[in-house]
Amino acid sequence: MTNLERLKEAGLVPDEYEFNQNEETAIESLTNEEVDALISSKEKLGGDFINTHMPHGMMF
Amino acid sequence: MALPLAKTRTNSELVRTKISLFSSGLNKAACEFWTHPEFSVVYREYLFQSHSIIRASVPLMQATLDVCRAAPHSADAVLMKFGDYLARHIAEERGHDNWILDDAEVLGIDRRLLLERVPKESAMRMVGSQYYWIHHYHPAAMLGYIAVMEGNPPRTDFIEEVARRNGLPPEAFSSFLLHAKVDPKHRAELDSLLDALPLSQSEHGIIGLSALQTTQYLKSVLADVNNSHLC
Repeated sequence: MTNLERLKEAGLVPDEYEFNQNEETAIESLTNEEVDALISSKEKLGGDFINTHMPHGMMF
Repeated sequence: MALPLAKTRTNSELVRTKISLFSSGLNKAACEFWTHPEFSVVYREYLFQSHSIIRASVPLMQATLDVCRAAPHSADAVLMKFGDYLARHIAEERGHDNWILDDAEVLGIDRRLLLERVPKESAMRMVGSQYYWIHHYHPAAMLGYIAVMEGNPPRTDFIEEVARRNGLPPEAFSSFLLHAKVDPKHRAELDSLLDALPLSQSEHGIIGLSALQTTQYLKSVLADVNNSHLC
């Protein structure tokens, strides 16, 4: 099972979202631990806010 | 299962793309913060939370540098270069927590109140998790933390518009305005470092996990800030 398939099965990827090549490469390079952490976080990949680049305001 | 890293992608491209993928929830919380109907109230809480985090930046980097330079890591090619970067970057980041205290004073908040108030759990978890990574697993994790924290700098015109829209003096945003000037350079320097590092698949995974955790903790911090008007 690929990383993307695991994330889709966990409900983290909206059906309509299409990943670009960079995103697909990044997803398939994730380690099992990263995929597990993403699934645990329930963080949706894709959607309205993925490319918003809103400054989070918490600086270093 | 992770595939071997694509040769056509640089380390920084991979790390930045992962952070973008992990950040939809954080972006949503940030959007709610900047457009909050009671922004002038929640901004005061933001200053407190932000100071809680930023006052730990230099000590956290110093702790990372110490671990990079000590056994068993002192001959590690990745950590030697990371250590050199940290030695330079610590000097650049020193005193930034005082910018936040200056902003608080513009709003009539005694800086001692921010220094003496007990930090929120969300901020402590965010910073504290890095101490665990550094001391008990692998200091390369700190690269993920820095990449998130310096990876999305505010723009000057954006901050000025927020101040104007909420009737707040621009002087109360000096920390944002100063970071808007320096962080694009800091982001570029970190990306150059990442691209110069001979990162293994495992180290990429550690950096990614740390970045994911940092985005999750930041989301919690902003959620606390966004709800502070209810307290």
